[in-house]
Order: sequence, then structure tokens, then C-alpha cells
Amino acid sequence: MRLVLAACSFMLLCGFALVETPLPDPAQEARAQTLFKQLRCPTCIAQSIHDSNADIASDLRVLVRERIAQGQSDDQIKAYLSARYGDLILLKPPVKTRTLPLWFAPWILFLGGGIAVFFILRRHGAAQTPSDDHDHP
Amino acid sequence: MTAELGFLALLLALASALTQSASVFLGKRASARTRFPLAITAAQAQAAAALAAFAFLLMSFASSDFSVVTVVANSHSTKPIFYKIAATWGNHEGSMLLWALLLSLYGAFYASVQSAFSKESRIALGIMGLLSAGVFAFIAFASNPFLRVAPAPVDGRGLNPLLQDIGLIIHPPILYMGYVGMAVPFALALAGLVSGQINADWARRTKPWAMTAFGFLTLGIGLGSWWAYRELGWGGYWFWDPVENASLLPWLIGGAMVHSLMVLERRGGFANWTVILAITGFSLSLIGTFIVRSGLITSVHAFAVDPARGLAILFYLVIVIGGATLLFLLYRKPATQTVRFSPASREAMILINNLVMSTTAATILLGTLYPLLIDAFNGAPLSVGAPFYDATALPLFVVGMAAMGLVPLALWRKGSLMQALGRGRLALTLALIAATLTYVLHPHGILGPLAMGAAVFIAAGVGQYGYQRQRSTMRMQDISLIMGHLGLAIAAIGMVGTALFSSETTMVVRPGQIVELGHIKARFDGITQKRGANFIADRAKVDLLGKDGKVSHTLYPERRYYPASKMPTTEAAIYSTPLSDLHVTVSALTDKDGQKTRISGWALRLYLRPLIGWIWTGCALAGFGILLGALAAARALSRQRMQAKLSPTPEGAMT
Repeated sequence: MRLVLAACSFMLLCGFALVETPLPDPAQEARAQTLFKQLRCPTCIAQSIHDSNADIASDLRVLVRERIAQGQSDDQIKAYLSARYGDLILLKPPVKTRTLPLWFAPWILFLGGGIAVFFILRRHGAAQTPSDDHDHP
Repeated sequence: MTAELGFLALLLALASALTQSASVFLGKRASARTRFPLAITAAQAQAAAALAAFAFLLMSFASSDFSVVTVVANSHSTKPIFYKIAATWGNHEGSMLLWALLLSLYGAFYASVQSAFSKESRIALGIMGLLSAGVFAFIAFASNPFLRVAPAPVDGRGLNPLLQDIGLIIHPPILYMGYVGMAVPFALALAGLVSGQINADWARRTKPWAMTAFGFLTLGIGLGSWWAYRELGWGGYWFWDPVENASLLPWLIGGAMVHSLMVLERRGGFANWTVILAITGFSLSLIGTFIVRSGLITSVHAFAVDPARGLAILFYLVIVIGGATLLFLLYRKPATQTVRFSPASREAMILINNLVMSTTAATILLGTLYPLLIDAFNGAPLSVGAPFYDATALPLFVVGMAAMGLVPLALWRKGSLMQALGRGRLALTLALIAATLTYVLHPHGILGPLAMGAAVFIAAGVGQYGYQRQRSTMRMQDISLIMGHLGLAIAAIGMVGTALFSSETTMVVRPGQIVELGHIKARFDGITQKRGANFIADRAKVDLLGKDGKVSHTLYPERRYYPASKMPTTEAAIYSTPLSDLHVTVSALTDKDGQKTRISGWALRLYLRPLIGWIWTGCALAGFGILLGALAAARALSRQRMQAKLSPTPEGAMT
């Protein structure tokens, strides 16, 4: 039920992906499938166009396949789509000034915590030898 | 009358909750002995009243009383009775009442098992009374499930059909047992702080409650993802939706808390850290339930729709989280004595694991709230989806799993890393083999192989731990440790297997046509119409063909339509074997013929999901293992209390 109240009404529109013609080249089709999973269906909540059954997702899949067939790179396609739909369409937010905290805070936290743990371990481990068995200040 | 009686019971519960905390916090110190029994009675009365309120709401749903707004909005006369009852908590108002009911049941249970009039249990009861009072007041005045509508409509609008599933009946109550259960360690942490008792004994008193909440959270999250997998129809089980993340946050912190409690119990260390985790855990539970329920995360505009409700929630959150933080800052224990342990001891491994789990939780919280923050500072909207968490939270979690594998191999207080790894050389070898094998089979990226290696390391490590224990004596705690860790390892192996080795295919089919996916041959045998209690369905017949070309199994995926709520759903058919699932869905291809839409053909989608069943097997094993640990901790505690009664020591006799 945790999903339900927030997101389900969207999933109803986005049941499962309909059938479009895959690209003839399996390598290109694999690239397309990978890209589908990184692009958000604009009318769904947290669903990628890979999973979505919405019309817009279907249109986007056709568009991505066309551009791959034209020889565009993944980055070119993403740049085109984010210019058209905004960054909202990228499930993985691009690294920009306004997403710096998002991308780096976890690692800063981890690093800071790691340093803290290192010093805690040193402090607690310092008194390991039996000769040093009295309380630390 | 039921709705009015329900509301009356709700007010009684509120009054009892207020009495409960007033009897603790108001009045003279000297009369504590007389006021404490009053607090206990009030806690029990509160639970009885909440139970009555819930029963009245349940009766309104069961009898389809369409003069009650909540029933109209979330039920329908044609629903099977099972789902009519489950619809009681399948909506905002009802689920809030369930939340409050469980909180008061926990409170009454806590009150009933207190034998000593300690300052700590008194304050804990007072705090739980305040927590309940806030929620009951919110329900009564901003989210009343008993409102009437006149004139009553002929029929209800029906429940979201996705909720018409066994998953709905059991998942929310179990998950809420976890969310709400975090309130007890929270109250005990604040009570322990104020009475200056955050020590090994406090940890022993808190552990059963913390493990209960953690166990139910584990089961609840597992059930939720199982429901999503079966019911949402695209073969996935987790998609980093804000609501899912909300349940993961208290789980991560709860896990850290349970283990840090063990260090406090065994070694007297990590006192302040444990308190921080207890406060954070419940705060995240609250944020998870309330912010998500308020609609703040999915849409900021939900606040504008019902500003009273949103503001009340925000006010409650600020009071609870702010108050707890303030109490912590005022009463936290000064770090006087350093507990000694080596950098490769079990304490150290738990500390490292705690760090990783907390960082993972912080990352998920940030990812969940970031789009909201950007929106608040009127930036262009952005999405934070699965690829973000795959790149941040998952690597962190894998590091945590590696530390987790070392925990049972390390000794309390002493030991070096080399010794621990030496003891675990068999586990380490198996882990390396598993990781290499995974990489050979799927040479794209190293996270999957690393996660597989870490999972095998955990499993083999606890296996060895169990084997060595077996020769001496196996205690209940040991079984709990083995089940918990093994369960997580099994679930992780399932996740890696599914993530790396899944395959899928979609095909437009005519009757008789065969769809191939890997070694699987599935024959589409056409569509028949089926009529359910409150839905109509197109039911596909799909035969799985064995190597000899004979039918080995038949699946019936459906495409349902619920007239009451005018919604279609996809009912997947799943063929499970221990090693993989075949998940089949059917959908209709439509033609727009002017104004009319007609069905022009059918498509089958097949997903092959290796090891996916291991995820839920693992969750169940871990969840029940943790609950067993809670039971073991409760028994140890009552034994200790019996002994204290037989030979009273100055410490055993409480104020």
C-alpha cells in the first residue's frame, strides 16, 4: 500500500510497455533498451519509459530508436531530450551546480563519517595493551 | 450509529492518552506511586477505545454504509467481503486510524509488562501518551474517518483495484507494526536520557522493542515489494519510489540501532550514538508515514488542497523531532569513560556497518527530498530515480554488507583483521569464487559481482558460526543472528541475480503462435472472457512447452477492468521455480476508429527473472529471525527481573 496512494493511479496508465518494432541491429537495440531505463516517463511518477504503457512513453521509445538508427550517441539523445522536456526526463540527474549537493553529499558524509570512525577506533584501540589498562582522560 | 460511536471512541482514546501523559507529567512527585497505576490504566483504556473506534470503522466498511464519506470514496457494494474489510485501511483516514491503533496497542502492552515503578517507565509512558494524543487529535479534527454525507449515495466509488489483492490485506498492518514499533525505543531513549540511565541495562530493556519493530519492518517491506511484483505488472519489485524509500529509511536506521544496542549491552559503549539512532529511527518513521500520506512528496500542491491537514502534520513532526533533539542536547551522556576495543573487534565492525547504513539512509533521504528542495527554491524540476540510487546507495550498501560479513567472524573487544579473515578464509574463498563466477557470466560492471561476493561471504560466515556453535550450545540469539544475516544474504543474492540475469521479450501474438525466451517456449492459445465478482477480464491461455513439445504448464494472465472505479489492471501469471520466475502479462493492442476504440490484437510480455523468489524467501527468513531475537531478548530480560526480585540489589530496586 505504500506505493498505492502516491503512485498507483499513474501506474494504471503505465501498465506495461506496448509493442514497437525493435531495431534490426541487436547491439543498437540493446543500447535503446538501456537508454529507456534512464529516461522518465513524463506523465508517470517514478517509472521509466521502458516500463511505462503511456502513449508519451511509446512515442519517446520510437524517437530514441530513430535517433540511435541515425547514429546519434547516447549523450546526444539525452541532451536533445532534456532540452525538450527539461532535466525532469533524466532519472539520473545530471551533475550541475544545482545538483552538486545531491551527488556529493553522500560521499562527503561517508568520508567524514569514515574519518570519525578512524579516530574513534584509534582512541578505543589505543588502550589495548594490558599495561595501559587505566582510564583515559 | 456506528460512525458516531466510532467518533466517540476516538475522542475517548484521545482523552485516555491525555490522561496517561498528564498523570505522569503533572502533579506532585511524591504521589508517583498512585499516579503510575493511573497511567497504566489510561494506556489500556486508550487501546480499548482505539480498538473500538477501529472496529466501528471496520463495521461501516463491512456493511457498506455509504453514508460514511470514507466508505463511499473507497468501497463498493460488489466487492468481495474480504476486500471490503481490507478497504478499512486501504485509504488515508483508515490507515491513520490503524497507525494510531497500533501505537496505543504498543503503549498498552508496554504498560502491562512493567512490574517496577521506575522513573524511566513512567516517563516512557508519558511520552507515548503524548505521541498518541497528537495522532488521535489529528485524526479527530483533521482526518476524521467517520464523517457522514447526506444524502447517502446509492453506491461507493470503489477502491483502487490494485488494492484488491491479498497483499493489501496483510502488508499495511505488518509494515505499520514496524513503523509504529519504532515509537517504543524512541520513548525509552528519551526516558532513559532524562532519568540518566542510558547503560547496558537500558539496552537490555530496549532491545526486545527495537528488534520487534525492525523485524516487522523487514517483513512489511518484503511483503510490499512482493505485492508490487505480482500486481503492478511490469515484472519489477522495487523502483525507488518516494513511498518505498520512506519505508527503507527507518529499516536502515533500525538495523543500525539493533546492533548498536548490542554493543551497549555487551560492552557499555555507543550510548549516545544508540540514542541518536532511536530518535532518528522514529523520526524517519514519522516522516515516512506522514509526509508521504500528506502528499507533500508526490505533489507539493497536495498541501494547498488541504492546508489544515498538511500543517497539522508538519506541526506534529516539528514538535516530536524538535523536542526529542532538544532533550538529547540537554541530557546527553558526557563521554567520560572510553570503552576499549581493537579496530578489528566485533564492536568496530558494527561501528563501520552503522556508519555505512546511516550514510545510505542519508543518501536515500536526500534523493527523496531533493526534487522537493529544488522545487521550493524554484529551480527547474528534476527527477531522482533508480540510476541515482544505483550509483550512490547501492555501492554503500555493498560496503556495509562486507562489514556485516565480518561481524560474526570478529571477536568482542579484541582481535586483528588478519585473525578475523583467517577464521573466515573458507567464507572468503567462496565469496571470491562467487564474485568471479558472476563477473564471468556478466562482465559488465563490478558492483553486481561485488554484491554477490559480499552476500556469499555473509552466508558462509554465519554458516560457519552456526556450525561451530552447534558443537557447544546453540542459543536462541544465535539462531536469530544466523536467520537474520542468512536471510539478508539470500535476499541480496536474489536481487543481484535478478538485476544481472533477467531477460524479457514482448511479442504481438495470434492464437497458436509460440514466443521464445531463452530456453522457454510459450504458446499463446487465445483469449476468453471471464467475469469476476466486481470485474470483467480478458483471460489469456498460455501453454509452456517442454523439451518434447508437450504442454508442461499452463498460465492464465489477465487484463481486468473494474467498472466501479473505471480502471483496468494487469494480472500477471507467474510460474515460479526455485531458480527463476517466468512472469507473463497480456495486453491489448487498440485501434482508434474515429471515436471508438477497438481491440485489434494481443501482445504477450514474458519476463524471465532468475533467483527473484530468493528475495522474499530471504526477507521472510530475516524478518522471522529478527522477531525470534526479540523474543529471546524479552525472555532474557524477564529472567533477569526474576533474579533481581529473588535477590534484591540496590540497583535492582528502582525508584
